[in-house]
Amino acid sequence: MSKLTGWLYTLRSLVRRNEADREMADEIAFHIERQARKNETLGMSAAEARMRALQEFGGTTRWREEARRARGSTPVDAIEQDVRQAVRGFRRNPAFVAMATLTLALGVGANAAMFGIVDRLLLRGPEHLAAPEQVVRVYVTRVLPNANVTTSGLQPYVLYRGVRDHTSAFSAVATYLPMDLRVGVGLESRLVHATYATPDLFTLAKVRPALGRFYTAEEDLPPRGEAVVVLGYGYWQSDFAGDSTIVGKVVTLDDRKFRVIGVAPRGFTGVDRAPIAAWLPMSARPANPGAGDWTTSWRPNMPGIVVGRLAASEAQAVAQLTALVRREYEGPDKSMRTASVRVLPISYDLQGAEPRELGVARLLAGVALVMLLVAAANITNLALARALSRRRELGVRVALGAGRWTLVRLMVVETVLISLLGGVLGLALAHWGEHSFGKRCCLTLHGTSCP
Amino acid sequence: MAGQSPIVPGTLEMLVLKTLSLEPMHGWGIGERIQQLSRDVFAVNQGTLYPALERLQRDGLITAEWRTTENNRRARYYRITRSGLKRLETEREEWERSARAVDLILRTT
Repeated sequence: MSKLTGWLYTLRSLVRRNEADREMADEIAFHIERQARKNETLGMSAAEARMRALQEFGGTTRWREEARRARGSTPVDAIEQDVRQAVRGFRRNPAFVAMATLTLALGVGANAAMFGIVDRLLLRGPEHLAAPEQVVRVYVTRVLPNANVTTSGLQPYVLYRGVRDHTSAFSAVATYLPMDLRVGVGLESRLVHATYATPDLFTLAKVRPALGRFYTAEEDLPPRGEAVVVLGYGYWQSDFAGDSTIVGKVVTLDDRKFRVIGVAPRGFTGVDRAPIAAWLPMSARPANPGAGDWTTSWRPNMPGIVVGRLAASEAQAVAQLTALVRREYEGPDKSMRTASVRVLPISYDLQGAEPRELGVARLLAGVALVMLLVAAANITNLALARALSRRRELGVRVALGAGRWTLVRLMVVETVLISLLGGVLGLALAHWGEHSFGKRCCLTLHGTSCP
Repeated sequence: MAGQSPIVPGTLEMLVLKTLSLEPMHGWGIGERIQQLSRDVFAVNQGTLYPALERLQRDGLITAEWRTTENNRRARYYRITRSGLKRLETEREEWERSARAVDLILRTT
């Protein structure tokens, strides 16, 4: 033990324990001295007297240790000592530590990064959307004359109105129409994502504007709503420098002038995930002369998407809406008479299919999991090899009086240290990975879904 | 050292308290004094003294301070505290009770 004391004690000098240890050493030295003197008076030589005194004492180190234990600081001491021993062991074998840490970091990092992406894409709903699991999109499934089955999430306004006015399965229902609009003029012009939406979309999401207000149902009265706009937070920041006096000003979108009445909260993307630059009343959408009245047609040339917040069970909603469609449909399409309505999570695409990212994310998550398992197996192997190559060292420790429990504790401390190192490094990797990989990944996977 | 035996297990702390109740003393002195007072019957295993002193300190039964001995050497002197005296009293009663009991058993014919 006393061989270890060198740099061990320098570290310990920070703490008062150092002082107590030194005092104990002093005290024992004094004791030996007195005993030796007594022995000398019994007629021994100086050397013999001292030798005898030490023998009588019974091992100064041992009793110093015992006294330290009696002082009550041993649990702390022991762990501290184990940590130091572990660190010394690591220094002697940096390759093992590097391998183990790196393996673990890669396993943990890949998993954490994957989980981050899966979580953002699939588990967590869009930002600001309260209780996203209650929100569903409405699909109509028909059997075409050629016996093909088709499911579509694009619905006419008249369906929305029917659901809103004649069914009770939703506590809120809204329709919206994403569209890219041109901003700026000439060479400066570019397209931004915008959405025409009924104001109940804000009610459904349960959001409050960051600035000003959202438009009201009166401003969204078909066929021609008010030319007002709620700017997206990001667009407001980037193109208007977050101008706090923006409300009341006029912006031009697709050559039409809109009066700004508010700014949506930061990160609000409705029920989808693409950033939206401008929210416009549904009825402010461009009317197509010759395409008939978009508010009453069952086949408008620009159908919207209908979403609702379930207030009843899914089955009830489906039953009510199916009945509604079959009853209300007016038009030549016979398949609509036998159509059935489905409600699906908002993460599903407009064909009613599971989002493609889900499959990819599942696959990647699986790969990451396998990686973690491989990492674990690797580390087990490494640790085993290390333990075998340390048999001599452990033997020496046992010979010096280390109990089984002491050895186990040392091993546990070593393993915990490696795990901590690997975990921290893994999280750093995950953070970096999620940024670079995540960005690229959802750009290529989805085009618009990058949060 | 012939004829000496180790002190009765479990009594070391009580004996240390007793010794210190007579006068403050350093570690070596305590061992010597116990030996003397027992008329050389008991030999204190010197190493065990120090853990015992630490335990007594931790329990607040004795206190320690560094002082200079008559030979101008620094030594740690221990002094019994009030609660130490109280503890000595209860331990003594306890000891006497059990010693009497053991005696009774051994005298039974």
